Amino acid sequence: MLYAIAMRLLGLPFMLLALVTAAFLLVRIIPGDPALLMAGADATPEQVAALTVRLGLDKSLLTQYLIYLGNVLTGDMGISLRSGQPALGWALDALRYSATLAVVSMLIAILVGVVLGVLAALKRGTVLDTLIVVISLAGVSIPAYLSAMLLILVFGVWMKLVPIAGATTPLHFVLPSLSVGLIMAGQLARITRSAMLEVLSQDYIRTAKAKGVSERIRIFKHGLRNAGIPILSVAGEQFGSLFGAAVITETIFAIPGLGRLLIEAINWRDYTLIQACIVVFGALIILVNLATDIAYAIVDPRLRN
Amino acid sequence: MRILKQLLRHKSGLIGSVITLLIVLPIALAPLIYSYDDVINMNLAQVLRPPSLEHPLGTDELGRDLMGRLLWGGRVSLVLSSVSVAIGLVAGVTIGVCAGYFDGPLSWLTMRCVDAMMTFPRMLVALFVITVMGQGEVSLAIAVGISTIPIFARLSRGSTLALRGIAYVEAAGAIGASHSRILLRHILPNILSPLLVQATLAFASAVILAAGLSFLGMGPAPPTPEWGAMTAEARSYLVTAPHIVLAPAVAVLLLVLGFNLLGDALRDIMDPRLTQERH
Repeated sequence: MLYAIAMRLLGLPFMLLALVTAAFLLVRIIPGDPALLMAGADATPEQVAALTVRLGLDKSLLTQYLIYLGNVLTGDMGISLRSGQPALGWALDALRYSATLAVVSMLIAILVGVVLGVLAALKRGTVLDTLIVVISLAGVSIPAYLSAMLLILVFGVWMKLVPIAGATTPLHFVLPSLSVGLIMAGQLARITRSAMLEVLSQDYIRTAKAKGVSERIRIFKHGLRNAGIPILSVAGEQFGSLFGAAVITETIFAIPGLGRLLIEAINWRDYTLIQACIVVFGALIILVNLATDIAYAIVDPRLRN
Repeated sequence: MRILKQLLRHKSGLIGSVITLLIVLPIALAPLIYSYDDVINMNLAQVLRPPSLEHPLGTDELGRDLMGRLLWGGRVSLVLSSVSVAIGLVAGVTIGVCAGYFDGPLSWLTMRCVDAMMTFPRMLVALFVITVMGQGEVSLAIAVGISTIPIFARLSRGSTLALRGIAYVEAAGAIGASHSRILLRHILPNILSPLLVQATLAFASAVILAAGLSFLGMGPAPPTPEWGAMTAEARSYLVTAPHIVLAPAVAVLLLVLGFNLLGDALRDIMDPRLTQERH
């Protein structure tokens, strides 16, 4: 296990380097003069020339790359053209909102998904099972903006229980987290159901039953613990796509998170800010994946040797 | 034909086929019922009319028939998603089959790149491509397509690796068949069934991803009807006329649901091992 974790840790700097390189190349592969694009259509030639010098675009590509790498290492990803503030700081600020949203949604997803999945597996073939299968399939198929709008309509507009836009109080996070969490729960419920069905048909469950082990212990200790490994692995993968869904959810609920910032940066053509958002987004996902892999190795005894 | 029969005998396959047909058929027939001009030209005398005989779903915020826009919008969504799955399929299978068949540093490097791409959410990969290419329907289709490549590349590499050691492939090599002949005649036909399953599921996720990107304003510009964009454009009417906002989104849900059901059913049918476990 230590070897596997060490290998993953060794790979980490390369992944991060690739990420920063992709962010660097982003601005260079856009057709046209980056300085002209960033300065905007009504910039004077002098402004464009000044920006070219400021961005170091008059130097060779390799020099630009090395300068960029050096700056990133010291935490400098340039100044956002839109606001004049450091792009990296802005992206990291926004990350706090996205991280809150992601963690709460993940908890909802695991709670709802695992409970529904286990229930469906235990009541296999009944109406309840069919209902859960249908609901979780709908969860997999629903566009993120539809679930968000339905929640807004029901809980925000008709019942007036919770606020529907902004991120100033914890209550503001209720609907967005539910919106993302319930979608993710669909996928988790599907995996949990099939993993539980697989485990419950194993010989050791029958043996436990024959020995007179109570049903509760059979399901939770013998069943869910073994089904937990595939569930954990899917949950880890989902954490990444959760940030993808957050782009839409944050836009709808007006949460000033990283996803919404990225969309705004794209619309503003603020390439420095886009680069910062992508690096922060990417680094976070790389780290979460690493953490999942390590957790995976710890949980699954077969991977320890 | 055999697959079709089995599909109709399979419960979720049948439901999936029915849902898909119910959506795709009217979309295909849309030009017979509504002219494209009707669905893009605004008519401010008829804004936000409730459903009636003339307008089965009423009219939208610019006085256009909602049903007509839904059907024409479905064409845009279907074409966008089909093109993107085709891009992902062709590029992904080419990469995957070659990386699985030819060993070497290049294959290794390519697959590491694929793995790295797979790490990131598809939404992020697609947004990256759109940032480079600009907004619009062409770059949207390419962006969604590129984000699909890793799925097909991994699948076809795995299947090719498994086939490479099988006797008939080795025998073909031994009697002097060229690499391209082995790849096209012996390997490709044998990995088609997992690819078909994956393509169906990839289509479902391409519809949802394209609609999401379009909702964010990265897709076709107005007045082109597109399901994601229609929801985004009508968003401010969520409280006063929710059906205009929700109808295109529900259309996405149904189409994706239909294809997900079809994909699940195809997987059961194509993989007999799974079917045996079920019964």
